[in-house]
Amino acid sequence: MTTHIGEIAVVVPSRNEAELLPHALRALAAAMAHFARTGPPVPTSLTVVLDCTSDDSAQIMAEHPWANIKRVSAGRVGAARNAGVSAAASLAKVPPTQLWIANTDADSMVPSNWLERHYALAMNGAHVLAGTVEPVPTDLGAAALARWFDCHDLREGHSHVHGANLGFRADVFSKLGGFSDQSLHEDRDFVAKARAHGYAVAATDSCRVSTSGRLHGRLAGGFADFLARLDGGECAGAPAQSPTAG
Amino acid sequence: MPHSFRTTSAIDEANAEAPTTRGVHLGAAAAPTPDSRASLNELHAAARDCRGEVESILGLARELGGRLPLPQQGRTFELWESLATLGAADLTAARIIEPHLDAVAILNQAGQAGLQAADSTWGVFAAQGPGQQLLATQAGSGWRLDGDKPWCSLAGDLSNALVTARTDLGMRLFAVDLRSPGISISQRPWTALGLPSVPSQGLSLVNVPAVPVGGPDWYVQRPGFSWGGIGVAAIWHGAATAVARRLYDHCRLRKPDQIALWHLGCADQALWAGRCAFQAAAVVAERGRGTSDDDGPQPAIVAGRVRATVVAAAEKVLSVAAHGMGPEPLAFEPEHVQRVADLELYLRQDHGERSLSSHGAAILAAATGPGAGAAPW
Repeated sequence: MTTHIGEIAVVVPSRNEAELLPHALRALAAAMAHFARTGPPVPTSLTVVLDCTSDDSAQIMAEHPWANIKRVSAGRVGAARNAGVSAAASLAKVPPTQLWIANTDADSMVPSNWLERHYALAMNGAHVLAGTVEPVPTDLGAAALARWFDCHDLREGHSHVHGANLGFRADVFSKLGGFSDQSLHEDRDFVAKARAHGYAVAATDSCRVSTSGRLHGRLAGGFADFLARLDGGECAGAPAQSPTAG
Repeated sequence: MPHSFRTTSAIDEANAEAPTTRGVHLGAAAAPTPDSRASLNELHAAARDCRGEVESILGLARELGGRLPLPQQGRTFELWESLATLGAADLTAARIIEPHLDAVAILNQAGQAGLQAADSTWGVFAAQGPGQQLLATQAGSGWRLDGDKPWCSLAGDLSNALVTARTDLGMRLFAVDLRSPGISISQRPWTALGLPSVPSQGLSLVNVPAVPVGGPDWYVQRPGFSWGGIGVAAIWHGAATAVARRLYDHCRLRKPDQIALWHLGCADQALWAGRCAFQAAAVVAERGRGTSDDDGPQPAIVAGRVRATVVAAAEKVLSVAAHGMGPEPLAFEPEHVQRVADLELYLRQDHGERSLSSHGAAILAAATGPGAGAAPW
């Protein structure tokens, strides 16, 4: 059976990211514009999930009226992503087998070829796409940045999973029961589940997402926490290591 | 070593960091200067920060009244760009701020800026109803107003107004304190979907003290009347620009078909015509006009041309945006819905075909009246 992707829905959970959200939205708009200009006539949409938001995010969204907004008070990124996917899917005009969901985060900036790469790999039969990220260099010291790259094998077939650069077909997402409703590692668990069920997971470094290198994350054990430990010279327990990579 | 670090994302980053343009520039030939870009973007943000709340907008009006340039003093174009930017940011804010700025300009032109107290906010009420006109009579050393005045926007929230009233020698402008005991506001409910927080009501005046501003017939005969009318058109142009920006996003973020491209082309052409009109009018406004025909067209004729051009452009943009984007933004995007409703109502300040037929009459009068010159084109 050949794969056909008829629509792409971008889903971005955002929890009080007023400072970085404008950059994320501009990068997404640029990627959507690039895809519209150079890609196939496949429509794209953007759904931003404002999770427990008490800052100016809603005003920022007003600058991008074409984006769909979903408000939740989940407090956990897994639940926020699920709400975003189901809101986006309900707006889609194609069946779930033809709908590609591309996930990123509100503190991240996608490259302009982001949708182009997600689309190409999806059309090539990938059920799930695990893309790479790199911290914004200016947010980290040179030494920490060097250690970060030492801990990450950024190449095709890599073993990392980042919610900031993760794609999947909507039907596969439903069959896997979505993301686990948890605050952390919902992305890794999802990809592990997909692999365990024998779905095709494409791990690519061809559309690297720039992600905030801030050292003060909201969650113990999250990406920011990992970056903070890099400052101390650590590498073990990189959150991006997939437990089932192999 | 970070051997695998690539710089491609830096390029995308630069792209993502491109300055957002929210201010509306009216230049047709050159890109705006960074200073002008920054100050208009700042004004756009200030108007949006008011979030449609009348009290905050009146505060901004007072501030802008002391800060923005007056017309015909070398920076008319800048004033119009500010008004266009307010129109793009929020039509409620623009609709409240513009009359205050107009009143400040009128008082200055009359040499009566002293009438304006520091914390006052002004409206300009010059509509003529079909019924009994507001009458001004001299009582001792002062003047008193009696009668009705229709279409007084926000009369309940402003401190002062300039109102037109009939005198024995013709129509004349008067400054009044809206808190005078002789003033009452009609209670006819304002049910408009556009500009819902800017109710326009009728005023009844009984023996209200008033100070004349300028002499008889000065209000409509002064050149500033025309430049003020173009200021309102600048707001319409700004709002139309904001609607067109939404259409631009629509065409940019998906693959446009031939019809969508036609819509975008129409919107661009309409807005360009508007910008060219403002640019030409600003040249005339700054040059001033003496008595010779060599001084260029009369201000009223210039204003007629600009307003008709901008109204046509705004209606074109509303039409192609609606046809191009369909019901979705009109159903799901509160800002777009409100802007369209606001602009539809605001544009009715222009009298459409009747305005253009008055304009035709003015063209003919200029060509045939006393001191008439050559044909208009």
